[in-house]
Amino acid sequence: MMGAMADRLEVSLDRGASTREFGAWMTSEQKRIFLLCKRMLQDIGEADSATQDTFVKAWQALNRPESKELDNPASWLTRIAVNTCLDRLRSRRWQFWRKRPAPEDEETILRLAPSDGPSAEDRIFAAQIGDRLESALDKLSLRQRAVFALRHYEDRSLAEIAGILELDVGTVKVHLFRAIEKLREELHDLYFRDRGTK
Amino acid sequence: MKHWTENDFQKWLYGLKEEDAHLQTCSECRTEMERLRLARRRTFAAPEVSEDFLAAQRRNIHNRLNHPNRNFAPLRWGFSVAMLLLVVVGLTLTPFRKSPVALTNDEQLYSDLAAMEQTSEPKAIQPLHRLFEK
Ligand SMILES: [Zn+2]
Repeated sequence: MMGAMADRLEVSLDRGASTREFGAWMTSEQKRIFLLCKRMLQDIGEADSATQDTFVKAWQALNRPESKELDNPASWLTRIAVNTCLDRLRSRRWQFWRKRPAPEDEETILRLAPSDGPSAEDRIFAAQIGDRLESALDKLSLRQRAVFALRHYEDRSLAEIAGILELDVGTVKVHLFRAIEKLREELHDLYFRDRGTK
Repeated sequence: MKHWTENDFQKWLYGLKEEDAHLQTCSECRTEMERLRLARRRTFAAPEVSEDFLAAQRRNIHNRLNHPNRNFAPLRWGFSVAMLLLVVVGLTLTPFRKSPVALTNDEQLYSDLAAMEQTSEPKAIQPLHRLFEK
């Protein structure tokens, strides 16, 4: 749904994009990119830095003399964000001293989205499973995590994911398949907990 | 008639399995599919992100766009490495420099040698004598 929202934005960012145009585009994409970084990195502070890096890199790329017009700015920006997160995750392997974020920091920044659908109790339960699923992303390899995040949270098609990550669709399928295998327990609770066994 | 398993449905949810002939005819599996479609939609309910946080983040980004070098880590690292190199090179070269005092103060050297010739015991003993003087 969020991926679709981004695609609806027909942003024309040509060479020398003005700060104001860029600012408006950034505002429309910022939350999506931040949440994607948050899910990839599982750390609010790092997600904040990665989001900033993403937009700074995008701005620099758009202002390069050799920059071309973009067919799909949202996908292009997503690629920058995912690569920024992958770089951070790779360098994190060496940071044994890394401080985990305090949960209260997260609570002041993220809140459950209001919804008139399921009851408050159901939503809280869904949020708990959602948190568990997010934490379980640690079990995935970096590529698996990127593929799963784009498919699960942004509902992107396999072809789109292949385009963003510059992989072929077959490879995306393999990564996704392995990710689902590793997350089987969490996905079961997310989708099948209330269902009687077949 | 074999129903779709949980595994089949999970693959279908993520685009790894197509709808097949069984699904066209089995109402039980179709009902389950509809339930999952709704459950899947619920997972897209993204959390609210504090507006203050997003506004502060935008300000930081604008600052970085306006002052591109301020947060440019490679520059800071480059500067630190250059300073370190300077110190290392300085320390490495220092012992090879000959002391200008030793070279120019020849007169002092000759007078010390002359004094040593005139006394029968080494000059280093003299402070010991002073200890026993009344
Ligand atoms: Zn069936």
